[in-house]
Amino acid sequence: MTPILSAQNLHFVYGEKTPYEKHAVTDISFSVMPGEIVGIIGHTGSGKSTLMQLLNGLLKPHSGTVIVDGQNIWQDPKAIRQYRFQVGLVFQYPEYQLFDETVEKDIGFGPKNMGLSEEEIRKRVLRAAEMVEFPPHLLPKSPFDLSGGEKRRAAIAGVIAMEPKVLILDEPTAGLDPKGRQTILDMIRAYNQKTGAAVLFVSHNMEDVAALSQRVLVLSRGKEVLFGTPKEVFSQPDVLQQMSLDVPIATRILDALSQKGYALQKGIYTIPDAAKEIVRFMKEGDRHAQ
Amino acid sequence: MLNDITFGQYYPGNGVIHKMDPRAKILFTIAFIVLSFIAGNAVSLLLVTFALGAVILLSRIPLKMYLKTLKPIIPIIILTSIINALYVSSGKVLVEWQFITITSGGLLTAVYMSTRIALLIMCSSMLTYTTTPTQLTDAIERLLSPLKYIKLDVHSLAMMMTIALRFIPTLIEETEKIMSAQKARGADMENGGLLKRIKALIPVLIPLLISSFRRASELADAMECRCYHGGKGRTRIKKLHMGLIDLVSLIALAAVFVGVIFANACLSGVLYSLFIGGVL
Repeated sequence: MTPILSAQNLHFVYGEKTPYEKHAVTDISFSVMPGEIVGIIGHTGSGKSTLMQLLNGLLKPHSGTVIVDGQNIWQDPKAIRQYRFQVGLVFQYPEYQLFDETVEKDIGFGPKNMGLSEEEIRKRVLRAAEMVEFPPHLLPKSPFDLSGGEKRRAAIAGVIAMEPKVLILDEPTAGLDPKGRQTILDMIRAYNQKTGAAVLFVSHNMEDVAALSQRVLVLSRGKEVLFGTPKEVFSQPDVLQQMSLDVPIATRILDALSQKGYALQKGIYTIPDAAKEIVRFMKEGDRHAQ
Repeated sequence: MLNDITFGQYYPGNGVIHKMDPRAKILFTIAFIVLSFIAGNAVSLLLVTFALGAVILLSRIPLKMYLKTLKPIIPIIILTSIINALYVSSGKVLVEWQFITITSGGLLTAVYMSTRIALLIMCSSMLTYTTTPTQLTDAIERLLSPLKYIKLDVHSLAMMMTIALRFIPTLIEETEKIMSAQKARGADMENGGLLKRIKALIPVLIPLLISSFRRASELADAMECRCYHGGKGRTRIKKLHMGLIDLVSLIALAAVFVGVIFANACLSGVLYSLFIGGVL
């Protein structure tokens, strides 16, 4: 299978040749398969946001290439817009980009820019609203009358309505309450399963990353540090802690128990799995006791 | 894209000019500009130019940065030069063609005027390159403080200026973010005619306006939380001090001033007769 999105030796520098020069992304290469969910972690300023903007052609790399569906996106700089529809990017706090008179028009902004027919736009808006569980009766309302969580979902629907093959989300759950967070995570999974699109998402929450992603990309100071399955990544707590990152709480609990002498399995990173493992261990312990 | 705005940009550094008291810098800048207009002949103008050159060297900021600020005013310089060359008539007549008469005096005035404008711009960019916006408003507040005797609320004015300056980079960053977000949804801001481009700005301007209001009310809340109630009885964390550097620059400035007055009075026409007078 060929990757839907791949980055090859990406470099990006802000403010080149000024006192403010900053190497935001240095030699990053990775690829994403169709239908895959990839979590991106890294502390603030590690180059995550820059990387995302490189991936959909909002920023042009100083060197290196981005390949979407077999095509180098900067082959023809004039056609770059087309790739922005294929690689949908949801920025951090996307609710601040809502602008139109009604939610429906706002969600339809992307599809309209794609040059679709009114009918098709309407269809896509409804589909996207359903995907993010946005109540249809709110569609004719002004986006500024919505609650925080509703605004966030409407904004994400605005990107989903373009039906991108790769959906990238920058901290989609930032600033939401636990219920709002869960809704967004469910929605990401639903979009991935229903459309088969690949999803990349940035998160500071290791539990979310562990629960959702098939592979995890770890960035630090613009460099790629680790890229692998959650099992591979979270089995290296030392490396993560050096970058002021952490492993999921479930892994931490099991590690602490192991250190106390309980023979628990390693490489578990979600709470349900940890619970199962503890139950298994206790049952076994009972058997030994008998 | 929006980062290209150079005017009023602080250029981090650690030279003597950076360390000067901002009040002194503002006053000296004004004095310097006045001086360059007082300078009435080539000798005194050269003296002023050399003085600015010395300050530029001391500021340890590449000359390129100063020349960059001249670029946008080149049309103004050319326009004033043409007007001066055409309308000032003194000295020898150099060109006489139909209604156009160019005299040597006119040409000289044109050269002087262009030099003065260039000096003015470079001198003020020296001020903004070496002084942070906060220092600037602080200094302006202190310099204008006598105005409070005529019931002018200098503190509020300075605070508004500080806030406005403080939020320029924030707003630029915000604008770029919103533009990127709308571009990610396929907004096309680079192509099309004037009307189309103006229309393409709506998805950027509306969120920007809304977030500005949000920011303003958040800032007001934050200020009230810290018991801000205007300038009465406020002390400052950073007191401004005039130091040795400021004294030395005052003396240097005074020397240039005396030099200019002397050159104006005694050497008037020396260079003129040496070069232009001699040649023509």
